[in-house]
Amino acid sequence: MSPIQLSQPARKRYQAIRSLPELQAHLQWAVALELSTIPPYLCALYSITDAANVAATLVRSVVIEEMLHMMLASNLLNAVGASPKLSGDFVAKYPTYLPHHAAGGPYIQLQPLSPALALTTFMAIEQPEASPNVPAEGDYYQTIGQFYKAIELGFRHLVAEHGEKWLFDHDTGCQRGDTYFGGGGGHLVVVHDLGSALCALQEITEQGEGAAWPQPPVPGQEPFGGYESYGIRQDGSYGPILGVPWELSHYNKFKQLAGGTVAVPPVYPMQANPDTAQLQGEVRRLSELCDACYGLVLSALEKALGTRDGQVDFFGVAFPVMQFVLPPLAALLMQTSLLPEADPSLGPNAGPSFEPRTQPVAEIVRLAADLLAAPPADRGSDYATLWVATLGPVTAALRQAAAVAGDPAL
Amino acid sequence: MDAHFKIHPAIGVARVGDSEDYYLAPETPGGLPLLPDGRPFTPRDFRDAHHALRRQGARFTVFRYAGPDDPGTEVRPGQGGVARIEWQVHLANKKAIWYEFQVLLGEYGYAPDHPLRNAQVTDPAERRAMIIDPGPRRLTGPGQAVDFSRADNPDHYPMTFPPLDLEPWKIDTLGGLRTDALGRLVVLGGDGHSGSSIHPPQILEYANNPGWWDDTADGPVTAVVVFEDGRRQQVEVPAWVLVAPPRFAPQLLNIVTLHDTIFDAFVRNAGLRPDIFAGGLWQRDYVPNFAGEIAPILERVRNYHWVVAIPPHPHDLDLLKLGDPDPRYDGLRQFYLSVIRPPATPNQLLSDTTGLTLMPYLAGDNCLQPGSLTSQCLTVTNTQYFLLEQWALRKFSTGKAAALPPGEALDRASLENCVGGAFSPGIEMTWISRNLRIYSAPYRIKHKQNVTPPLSLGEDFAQGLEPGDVGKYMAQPWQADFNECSTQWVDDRVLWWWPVQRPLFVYIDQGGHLKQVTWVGTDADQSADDYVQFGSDIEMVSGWNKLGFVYNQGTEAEPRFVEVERTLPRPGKAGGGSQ
Repeated sequence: MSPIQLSQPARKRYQAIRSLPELQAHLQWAVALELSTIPPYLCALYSITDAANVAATLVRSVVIEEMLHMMLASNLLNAVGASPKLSGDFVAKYPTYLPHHAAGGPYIQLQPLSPALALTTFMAIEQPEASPNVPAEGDYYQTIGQFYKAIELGFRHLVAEHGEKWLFDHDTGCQRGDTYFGGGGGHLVVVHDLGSALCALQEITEQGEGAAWPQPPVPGQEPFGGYESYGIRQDGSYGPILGVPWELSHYNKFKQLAGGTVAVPPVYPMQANPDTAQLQGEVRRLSELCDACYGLVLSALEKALGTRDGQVDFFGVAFPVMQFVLPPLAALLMQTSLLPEADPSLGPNAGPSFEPRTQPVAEIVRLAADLLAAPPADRGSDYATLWVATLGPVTAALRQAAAVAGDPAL
Repeated sequence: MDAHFKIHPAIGVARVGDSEDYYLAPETPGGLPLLPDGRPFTPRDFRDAHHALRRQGARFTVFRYAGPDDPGTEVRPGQGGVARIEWQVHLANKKAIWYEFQVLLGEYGYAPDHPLRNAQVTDPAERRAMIIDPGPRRLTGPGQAVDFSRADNPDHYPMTFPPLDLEPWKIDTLGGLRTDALGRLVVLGGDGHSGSSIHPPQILEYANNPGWWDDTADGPVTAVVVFEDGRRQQVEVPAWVLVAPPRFAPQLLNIVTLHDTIFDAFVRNAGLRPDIFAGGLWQRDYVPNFAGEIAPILERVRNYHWVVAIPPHPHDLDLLKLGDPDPRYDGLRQFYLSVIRPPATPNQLLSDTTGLTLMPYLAGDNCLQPGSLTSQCLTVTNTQYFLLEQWALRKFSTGKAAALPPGEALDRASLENCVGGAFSPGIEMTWISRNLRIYSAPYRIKHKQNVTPPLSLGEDFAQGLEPGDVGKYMAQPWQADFNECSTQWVDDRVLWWWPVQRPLFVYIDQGGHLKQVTWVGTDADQSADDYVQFGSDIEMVSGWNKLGFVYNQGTEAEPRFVEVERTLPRPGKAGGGSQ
């Protein structure tokens, strides 16, 4: 029997970014970090039965900005000589912890939206810094803001050490400034010097945790911006708001859901952390299709962000699959009870597992077409109708993507 | 076919102003006004030397067409055997005697219980006296002038004008006529005077105020070509003039223009374009031209943020990609189509499949009264939607847009610069524009022949329209609607009306830096009476002529629309808008 050790565990120390490879590594982690938040937010969004609900509008605005942040982090990475990886270990498998968080951070699960999810997971992800003067933290950070502060100091250090030109001459030429269509605020910055790099970092942190103000700013006191986005205003109504970080921050949006300021609407009874491997029959193949489409989006994005002409991959594949394929597939899964005889309005239901599968696009199209041709017979006619109404347009969109990708399936 | 004559534009639009001076209506869509002396228009020209707001004159030209394929040529005195052109215009304002404007009620005929305006006056003679009718005016040669005023009545017409004790403004004229040296006619509108015979004047609602008159008007424009040999030929295809409120952002166009609306009505109901719609079927092999038929719609979207607080970023459409027929951009085109509200679902604010806000984010014809005619949100026209659908399917041609013959180009430009919806009631013309019975040909208002005084209290589309019959539906006085048609609550959202015709938020230039402020009123509380409008409508009756114009100081490629020539002080600190 070994004696009880009373020594303190070694505390992870902040290692400042001192070299280009370290900066690139941190930026790749940033890309992975931003990406890891998207599936849980998407799950919460797709779980809302009424897509036009106010809560859905709030969550959607956050997801779209996380996508913007991933694009910004990718531009920062491309600006210093490396292209982002959206594959392998850089893609989270759920449930998971926040990558590189000091304490693991919140345990991120794929769940339908609930006030508890908003409180315990989403607000924890977007946790603001305790005060404006908290230290930078790189690997093993407490808040995402501190992690980005380390990156900012890394940029400043390398520019001071080697000069701005040296650093940004590493630009791969693969940055994109044309892939953000969101209705929210924010800009997709193309990074070419320290100023634009800091600007990109500020876009990420301001929209995320926002300024660390505990209360809304006094009217007239907030920094002036244009009316760049719509949201819940200080007068309580929905409408144009000035670019106030406090009001727009993801943390504050989730707080409204957690605290009941914005009611959580009815959601599909999706089982937490869907797992394709545990399904059978057509439902399993449907889930595989969803995973394959997610994989297709990631591989197309990786190509779009790692080649100089990523137009086909982004506009021809990633964007339409994100827009017209993943949302209806997720909604169909969430209306599919795990047991054929169960009532899908009671659940438990399937859901998108976000396990990226790599599959040639021609095979994905064939899978979708096969599923479309054979709606499940044991789930009633309403379900079969929903199946066909969902998979028809999904198959058409996949065919179009395949044709553009130079891979005319079937 | 023999040579024949037409007046262009088919519908000309004059606009009120409190200055004696005037500029001419733009002759291109989204063009700047023209100056009578041909100098280039500068922002200073919106007002005269005394800072009064210049009127917009509607200029009419006679065109000669040798045959059906002739693009037409302008008729000028002294050329081609033409000695001179005699013009006649008859303006009137019938708002006070027509039915109350109640959203869409009346578009398909009025119900028996639909109230008349000033219904307490029941004697027909008394009601006729409430029509503002100065009678017709005629000019017989170049360089002449005459007014539609109490004082200028050369033919001793039995004029009817409102009582002399109107407050806050008296109405003594509906405008006037001028001819230029080239034989063209300029029709001028009123001073923008509105007043009430009930003291003290009060405005109770947006469209129907008893005892009120304004000096907008409309009426037929006819001409006779007089040849040097003494022959006189009546111009076979005459025109119509509308007098409307000022256009404060002349370089910006509404997403649905009056041209779009009338075009759509003729396409769907009169076989105007069988290549687009024939036999009740949309022609799916029709290939619109991107530059001519699609890009103009998208450009209007791009420019809205200059006059209203909408997020500029998502409206900053990439026209190079959207007009590139490479299939890689099909998904992008389909995305934009998916956020455009289909014309069949005007009550759908957000998409129930994607949850995205449907566009345009503007109020519809009827967000005020529940019932079968409810139409809460504006939609593009069916024809516009069809063209966009074809485009999203990659059925579009690239290359330059086809040029119109000059006369038709004037017809079109005049209407493109007007609002084609929402009609509640609108700015220049309301839903009556969708009723083909008022036309004799596309864009041509059907004239009633041999109009004799007094003007009618009713109407008969079969006979044609009298002076005042197009504008009588509009708000009485126009300033009430103009003030209130700023924002509209629909469900829990606040929609905008016609930001291009009635700006809501504008940019001011502060030392080279653009700052977004309200055009009128405050912006802190969306429920406040003075949220982006005057707190009471009567303030607009005296304040409209002090408001600022929105002018592009930049270029077409890099626009920079800023407010200019405002004479109304902004409350609070200088230039201060606050939330």
